[in-house]
Amino acid sequence: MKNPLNQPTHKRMISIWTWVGLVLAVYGGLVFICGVYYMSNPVAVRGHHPGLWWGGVMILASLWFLYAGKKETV
Amino acid sequence: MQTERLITLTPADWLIVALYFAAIIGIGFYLKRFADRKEDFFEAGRRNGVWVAGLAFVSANLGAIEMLGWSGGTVKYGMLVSHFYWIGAVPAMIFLGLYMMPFYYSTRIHSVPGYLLLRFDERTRLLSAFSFAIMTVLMSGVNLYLMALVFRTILGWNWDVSIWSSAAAVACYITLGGLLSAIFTEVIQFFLIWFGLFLVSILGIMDLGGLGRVFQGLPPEMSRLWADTGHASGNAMGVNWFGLAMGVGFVLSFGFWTTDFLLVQRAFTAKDLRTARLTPILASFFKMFLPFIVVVSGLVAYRLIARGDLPDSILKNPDSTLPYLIARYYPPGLIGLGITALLAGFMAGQAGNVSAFNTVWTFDIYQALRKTKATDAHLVKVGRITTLIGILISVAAAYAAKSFPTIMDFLQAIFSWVNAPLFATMLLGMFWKRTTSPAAFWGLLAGMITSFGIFLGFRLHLWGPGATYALTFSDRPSDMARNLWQAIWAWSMTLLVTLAITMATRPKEERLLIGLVRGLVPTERGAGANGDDAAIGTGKARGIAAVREPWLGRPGFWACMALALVVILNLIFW
Repeated sequence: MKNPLNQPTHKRMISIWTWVGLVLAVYGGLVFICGVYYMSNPVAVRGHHPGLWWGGVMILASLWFLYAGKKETV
Repeated sequence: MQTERLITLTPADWLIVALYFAAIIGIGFYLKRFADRKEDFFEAGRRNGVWVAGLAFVSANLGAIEMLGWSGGTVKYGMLVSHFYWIGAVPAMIFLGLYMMPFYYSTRIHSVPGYLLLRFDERTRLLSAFSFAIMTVLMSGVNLYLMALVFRTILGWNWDVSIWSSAAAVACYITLGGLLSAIFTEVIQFFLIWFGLFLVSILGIMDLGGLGRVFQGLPPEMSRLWADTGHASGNAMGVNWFGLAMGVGFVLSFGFWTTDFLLVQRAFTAKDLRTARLTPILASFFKMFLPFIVVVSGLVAYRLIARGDLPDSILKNPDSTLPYLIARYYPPGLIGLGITALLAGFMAGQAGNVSAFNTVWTFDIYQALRKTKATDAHLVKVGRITTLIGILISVAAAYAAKSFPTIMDFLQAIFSWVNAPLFATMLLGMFWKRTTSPAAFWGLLAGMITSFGIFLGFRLHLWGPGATYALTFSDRPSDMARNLWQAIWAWSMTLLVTLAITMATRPKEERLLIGLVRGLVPTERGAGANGDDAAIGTGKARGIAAVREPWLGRPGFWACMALALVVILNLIFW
């Protein structure tokens, strides 16, 4: 489906999915880096490093949205 | 008020919060060039696809008040809170999409009060517009107030800095981009909420050893939806099954989801009627899964309190449940993300209310009283000025709330005062052609007065035990039960008064109601700007559309899927 926010009848606009992808990429990257930096930080769920894997999930999701924004599809 | 801060932010957390402010202000400046026409500023161009409109629709209701309030509500009421997401939302959203959206969208109105003008008269529209305008700026102010309160309590942030910085950011991006900005940030907020807060539930489940272990440790009445509602005294909410079904499942939910312009405005941005109808139906799926954040985190907190891992002071201040869980489970970095998700929720709540306020004020009050037609540029200018004024009133309301701790009760009364009676008016107006204009006005007014009268009676302790039981069917109703019954009585009063006056007054000629009432169809095909008029509320027109659309694209198919899922969820947690 064409993203109507990018339809040629209107001024060219960066897709909303690109914005979502950028936000998730930046935040996912920061969370991942913090996860690495604070690996020794004790949390309630011992043995898990949520910053690492949740940051990774966010980066993967951001790739999907950046792709969707580039293809102008929703 | 608690002076000891619950969470301390690291530089990385501060960076994440600061980036959010930079992002939304940057988006506002970017979108300004696309928001010069009134269609863009007030309706986001009416060219959104179903995903954008649907996510914005659900996000407009996904504020931080809801996240904090209902996770805390779960600690008090248990699984009963899920009713507000399932029976209390999904049927109403489906009804809006299938039956009401054709009237709203195809008449090309700018707002819900605009429909009242076409269907009834100017005074009914003005009554609805003024009450809605007051409600939106007060809600915006309460968002600000609660944001400042929460961040002062858990982070030790300065009260004035919290209020003015977030108000300035919202003023900036809504003044620049109008509804277009609001929708962009709402979609981003949706993902921030899920990525920022869903992890709380996941880590809580891991901490307790699995979802089954979360439920095993709960008292039975905390883990069931309907089994303990035979009598009001059988559950923590103090309401029986009829009160739940009629109050949550019908009057409050239908009143809120089908007439609250803040929500319906998101569907107005859809590119065509089919997309507009699918918007609330798609949103219902997202709404259905929110208990996995809100309710699960509340149940986890209940279990942690019971085993002494969280302080029992949470029971006195349940709204602090989510911040306590963030403090317990999140390491640096993720704390910044969680706080940003809450911040985004608060600011989006404020922005959504202000963008709805500027539309209703510009089209239903300013334009109505001005009488003469204004240019696009003039209306956009009025909209931008109204946005700034709305923000300033919100800030004033936030400071008023600071010195008036019962304002939340007052706001809950306003919801039942505005939305519940309006739903009865809309229902009769859209589905009964006989309904007259004087009946609509006086019925709406009577419902509003009834609702507020009952509220005042409780606040001022005017109702004795007999009256309390007669009004709520409970000897000791909770605040929630009072709100539900208040809405039910307001809706019933509007219905009865409207019916009675309708029978004594002369109805409008049918030719004036074509396209506004179910069953009255335009005689010439494609009378509307985009031909949507042919589909207004008629089985025949919907049949034509159904032949052209594959079944996967039909609103009715997805509505059935959503209803089936809600039934299954209710049976699982019966």
